[in-house]
Amino acid sequence: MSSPSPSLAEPLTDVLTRVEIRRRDALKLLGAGIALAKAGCMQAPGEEVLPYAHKMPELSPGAPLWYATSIVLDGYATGVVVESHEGRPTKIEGNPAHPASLGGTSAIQQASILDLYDPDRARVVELAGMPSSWARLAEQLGALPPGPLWLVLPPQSSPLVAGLIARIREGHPGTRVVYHAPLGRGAAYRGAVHAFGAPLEVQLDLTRADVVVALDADLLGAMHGAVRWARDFAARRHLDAPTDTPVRLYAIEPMVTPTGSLADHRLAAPARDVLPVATALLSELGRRGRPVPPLPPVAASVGLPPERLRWVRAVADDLIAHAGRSAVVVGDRQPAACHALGHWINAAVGALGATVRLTAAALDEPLGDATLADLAAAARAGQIGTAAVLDCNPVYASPPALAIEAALRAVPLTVHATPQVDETSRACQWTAPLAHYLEAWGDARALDGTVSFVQPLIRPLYGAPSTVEILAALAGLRGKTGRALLREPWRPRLAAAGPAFDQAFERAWTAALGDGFLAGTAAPALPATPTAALPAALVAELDRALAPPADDRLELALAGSPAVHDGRFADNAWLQELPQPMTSLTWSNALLVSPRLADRLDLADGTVVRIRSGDRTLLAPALRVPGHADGSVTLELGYGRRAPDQPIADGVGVDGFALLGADGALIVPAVDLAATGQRRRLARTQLELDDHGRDLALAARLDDYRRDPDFTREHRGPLPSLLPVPERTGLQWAMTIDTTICTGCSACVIACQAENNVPVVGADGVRRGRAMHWLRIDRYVARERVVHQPMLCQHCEMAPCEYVCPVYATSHSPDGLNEMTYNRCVGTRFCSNNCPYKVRRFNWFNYNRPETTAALQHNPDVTVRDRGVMEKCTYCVQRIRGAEIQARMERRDVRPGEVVTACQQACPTGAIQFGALGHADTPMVKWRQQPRAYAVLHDLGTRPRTMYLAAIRNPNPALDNDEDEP
Amino acid sequence: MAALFPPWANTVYRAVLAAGLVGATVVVAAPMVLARTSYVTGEDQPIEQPIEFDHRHHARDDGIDCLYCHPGAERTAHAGIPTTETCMGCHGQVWNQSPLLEPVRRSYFSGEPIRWRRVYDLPDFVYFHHGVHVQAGVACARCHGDVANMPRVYRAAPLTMTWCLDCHRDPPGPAHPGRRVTAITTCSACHR
Repeated sequence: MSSPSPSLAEPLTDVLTRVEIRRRDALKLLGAGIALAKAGCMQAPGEEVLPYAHKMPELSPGAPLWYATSIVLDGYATGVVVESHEGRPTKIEGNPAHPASLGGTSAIQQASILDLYDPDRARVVELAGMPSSWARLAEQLGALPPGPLWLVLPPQSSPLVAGLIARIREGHPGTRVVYHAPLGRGAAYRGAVHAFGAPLEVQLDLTRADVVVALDADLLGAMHGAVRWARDFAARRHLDAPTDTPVRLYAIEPMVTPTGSLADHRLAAPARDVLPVATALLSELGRRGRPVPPLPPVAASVGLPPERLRWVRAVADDLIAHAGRSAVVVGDRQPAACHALGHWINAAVGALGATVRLTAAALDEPLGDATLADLAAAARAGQIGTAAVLDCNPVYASPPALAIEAALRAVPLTVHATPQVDETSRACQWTAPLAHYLEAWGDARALDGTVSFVQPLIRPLYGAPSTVEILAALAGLRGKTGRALLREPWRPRLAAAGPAFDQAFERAWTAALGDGFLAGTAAPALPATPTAALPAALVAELDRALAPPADDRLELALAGSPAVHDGRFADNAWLQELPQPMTSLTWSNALLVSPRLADRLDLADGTVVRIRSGDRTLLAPALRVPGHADGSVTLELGYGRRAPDQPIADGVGVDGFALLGADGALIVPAVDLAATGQRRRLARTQLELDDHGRDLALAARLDDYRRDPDFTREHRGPLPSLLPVPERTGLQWAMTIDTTICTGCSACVIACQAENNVPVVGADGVRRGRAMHWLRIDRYVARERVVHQPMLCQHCEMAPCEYVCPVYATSHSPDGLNEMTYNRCVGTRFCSNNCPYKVRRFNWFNYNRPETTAALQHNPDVTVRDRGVMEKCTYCVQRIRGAEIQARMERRDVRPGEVVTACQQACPTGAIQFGALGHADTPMVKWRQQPRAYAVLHDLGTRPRTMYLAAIRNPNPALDNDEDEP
Repeated sequence: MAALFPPWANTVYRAVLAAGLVGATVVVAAPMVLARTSYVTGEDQPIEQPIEFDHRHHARDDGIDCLYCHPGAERTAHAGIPTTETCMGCHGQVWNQSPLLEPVRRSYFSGEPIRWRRVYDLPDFVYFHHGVHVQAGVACARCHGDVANMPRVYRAAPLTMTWCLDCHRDPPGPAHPGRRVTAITTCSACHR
C-alpha cells in the first residue's frame, strides 16, 4: 500500500511536516526550477507575416499606391489624391490637375482621413435604439408609410444624386428636399438673382487681378473655392524682385481672417456695416462716372464715419485705376443685397468677363426646394409621412426656434443616416451608419462646375451604405451597389453608343477615375450683365437693411469654424487641437472681442460672458483678439455639441447655434454682454503676439522695400564661428518660406500631423505647453498687422541641440538634415532647452493608442514614437530617403522638385518651398537669393537651413498712414 | 593604542576596490555581450513554419531563382513572401495531392493567408529597403546566408546595428561596373 496522498482537506502544515523537505533539497529544486524556467524562456516566437492568398492587381507590398477621388463639402467637390498602403488609406493630398485644388488642400480636407478611422463612428443600423440591419432598413425605405416624403441632406451638386432625387419625386409625388447647410451660400445665389435674374456662380480669376476687395469675404481661407483662389492670389502676390508690383488687397471684416490678415488695408467693421460700405462704394463709383444703376434714396442717407468714407473713396479710385484688373468679392454670410451690389460694383469697374466670370451654379437647386422652417411647420401640422435626414445634423445645427427635434418626433417615420450618432439620431427612429467618402462611390461638381468622381479606397469598415445607396433604396432601386448606380448614368455620357460602346466606355471610365475628374467640364462663362435698374425686391431689401439701426448695440457675427466647420468635424481630434488661425485657440471656441471692447466690459481672456439675444442666452469664455471690430463680437459655430457618442466632440466649447435667429442669418443684430464671475482656462498654443522688438518676423511696405531692398541684411549672411564649420558636399536640403503669401490657414499643420504620425495631447496637454505639432504657425501682430510665420525645425547647420545631446540621438546628416534618432533618445530634453526656435516636442506620455482604429491611419514609413522620446520636424526625411533610393535604383540623381514635403504639398498658396540647394532653377533656391530673404534669430549663428522671405505689403499711397514700417 | 586596522586590511581594501571596478565593468559589459549573443539575436535558430517548406528542394535541387518567389526584393522595400497563388502556380500541377501542401490548398481556395513566421524581423524604428541593396549588387546570401542549403530557414545574421554598419562603413566595391556604392552611415538612412 502506498502512503495515502495528501487530501485537500488536510492542513498544509501537516503535509509539510510529513513530506520533510530538507534545506538541501529545497535549494536543489529551486535551482532546477530556475534552469527550467530559463529553458522554457526561449526566443519569443517571431512576428507573423501574412502574404496575400491571391495576387492583388497593381499592388506590391510596401509600396504605396495613389488613387484620385474627391472630397465634397457643402456640395462643392475638391479633387484629391489619396495614399494607400496595402489597401489602407493613410494620407490625403491635393490633386494637382483638379481645378479646385491645383495640389493644395484645406486643413479640413487633410484631416478628413482621420474621420475614416474614428473609433466613435456609427457601426450598426438601429431601430429605436435596438440593433437592426441595413437589409431591414432598405425594406422599410422601399415601403414608406402614407404621407409626403421629406429629405434633408447637404447641398448637392452630384448628377447622380440629382437623378436619384428626380426618381424619388416620381415615385413619391409631393417629395420635398431640404438642402441643409448652416454655412450655405443661399444669400450669394439670391444676390445673383437680384442682379442677373438667375442664381449664377461667381468664378474668380485672381491671376489677372491687380486689386481685390474682400467685403467680409474670407476668399483665401474659409470660402468654398479658397484653396484654388489662394493659389491664384499668391501667384500675383509673390514678388521675385523689388520691381514687381503685387496685387493689392482690401478687406473689411469684423474678425481677422486669413484674408484680412494679408490685406494691405483692412477695415475692422461689424459685419452689418459691410452693406452700407458696399452701397457707398457703388455710389462713389457712380460719382466718378462709372456706369451704375440709379440707387434708391435710402442709399444717400448712408452716413459713413470719415475713416470709412476715406477707405471707400480710396478703394473706388483704385478699382477704377485698375478697371478690368480688379475684383470685389462678397462673403457668404452677407445678405443677398450685398452680393447683388457686389455684382454691380464688379460690372462698374469692368471686372465682369475679366477677373470675375459668371457661370451656372454648381449646385442643384441652388435656391433650395424647402427650408428647415418649412419642414418644422409641416411636421407639426402632421403633413409629413417620412423624414429622411442624410449626412447632416439639423437638430444641432439649426435655429433653436425651429425646434427641429420636436418636429422630427412628430413624424411617423424618421430615418437618420449619419457617420456618427449625434443629436439628430436621438430624435429619429432609425439610425444608419453612413459610409465615409473613402468608402463610397459618387460624383459631384467643383465650384467651377468640373465633374469630379468619388471612388472608394477601402471596403466600408462597418458595411455602411452611402448617401447614394440610401437614396437609391428610396427610389426603389434596391440591391444596386454604389458603383453600379454611378456607372449607369455615366455610360451614355462617357461613350457614344456604337458597336464598340462597352470598350469605349470602359476606357473612358478608367481614365476618368484615374484623373478623378472630367477635364473640360467646367461650366462655360455666361455673358451676364446686371440689369440696368435695381429690381424692386432688392430696393425693398435695401430700404430695410440700410435704415439706421434703432440703437448701437453690439452685433454678434457667427462664423464657421476653420477647424470643425459647422460641427460636423467636431469629433476629429486633429481639428480640435488645430490652433485656430489668428487666436491659436484649441479644443474650444470663444467669444472673440476687440481689446477695446474687452477693456470697456472688463473682460480678460477666459472670462465667462453671458451673451443675450432676445430671450436666448449663452455662456461663453471671452478672448481678446487684436484687430477685431469694436462694434461686433464673433463666435465660431460647431462647438458645444451634445453628443455622448462622440466623446471628442461632446461638450467642447459652446454652441453658437443657440443664438441663431429663426431666419438662420449668421449676423445677429443686437446682443448684450454681461461678464460673470467665472473664468475658464483656454487652451492656446501662442499667448504672445508681440516679438518684443526682436525682429523675428520681418515685414516692409513695397515702397520701402524698393528704396532699400537689402533691409534684411542684418538677418542673413556669414557670421564668424568659434566652432569648426563642416564642409558639406552633395545634395543639401533646405526650405524657403514666403511670409508674404502665407495666409495662416494651417493646412500644413494637419498635413504634417497626418504624414508624420504626430499625436494629439488634449486640452490639458495644450495648456501645459505639450502640444506636439512639428510645424506650428507663429503669428506676430504689430500695429494690427499680422505676419504668419510657419515655424518648424530650422535644420541649423550649427545646431544648438546637437551639442548638448548626451547620447548622440540628434545629429547632423551629410546632406544637411538635423536628424532625430528616436531609439537613441533617453529623454533628457537638453536639446529642447537649447533650441532657440522651440520646435522640439517631447512625448510626456504614450499618446498613440495602438489598440484603437485611429492607429490604422499611421504612416508606415515613419516611426511611431513612444513615451520619453523627443521628436521634431524631419523635413519629411522618409520622403527624401524614398526619393534617393528610387534615384539610386534608377541610377540617376534626385531630380529638382522630386522631394515634396507634406507641408509644401498641402499649402494652398505654395508659400513653402523645399529642395536641394544645388538645384539652382527651383523656386526654393531662387527665393532665398532674393534680397528680402532672412533667417530667424540669425545673430545666434545657428545658420538655419530654413529661410524666410519678409512679408511685403502693397499699401495704397492715398490711404497710407504711419501704420506700417519694417 | 593598537592600530585600528590590522595590516591585512590593506589587502582587503585593494581587493574590494578591484572587485568593485571589475563588477562595474561587468554590469555594463554583460548586457552588451548578452545582446550580441545568438541567444538574444535569434541568429542560427531555425524557426518552425506552418508548412514544411524546404528551400533546399526549391532553391538548390530545382534551381528556382530567389526573385521568382520574392520579386519585391529587386525594386521595393519588402522582398515579399509569395502569395498562395504563386505556390499553386506550380503545385496546381505538381505534387497537387501531397498532404504536406494541404494548408496551401486550403489557403488558395479559402482566400485566407498562410500565417508564416517572420525570420528576419527588424525593429519598427528601422527602415530597410531591399531594392536599393539588391540594385547595388548585394547578393541575397550576404545577409540571408546559404538559404538553398537550409532545411528550415534560420537567421544567418545577428541583425544588430553593428552588423549593418560593418558594411555601411566600409562597403565592398561595386559588384558591377557603373554601379555606385557609397558608405552611408547617417542615422536617417535607416531611422526615420
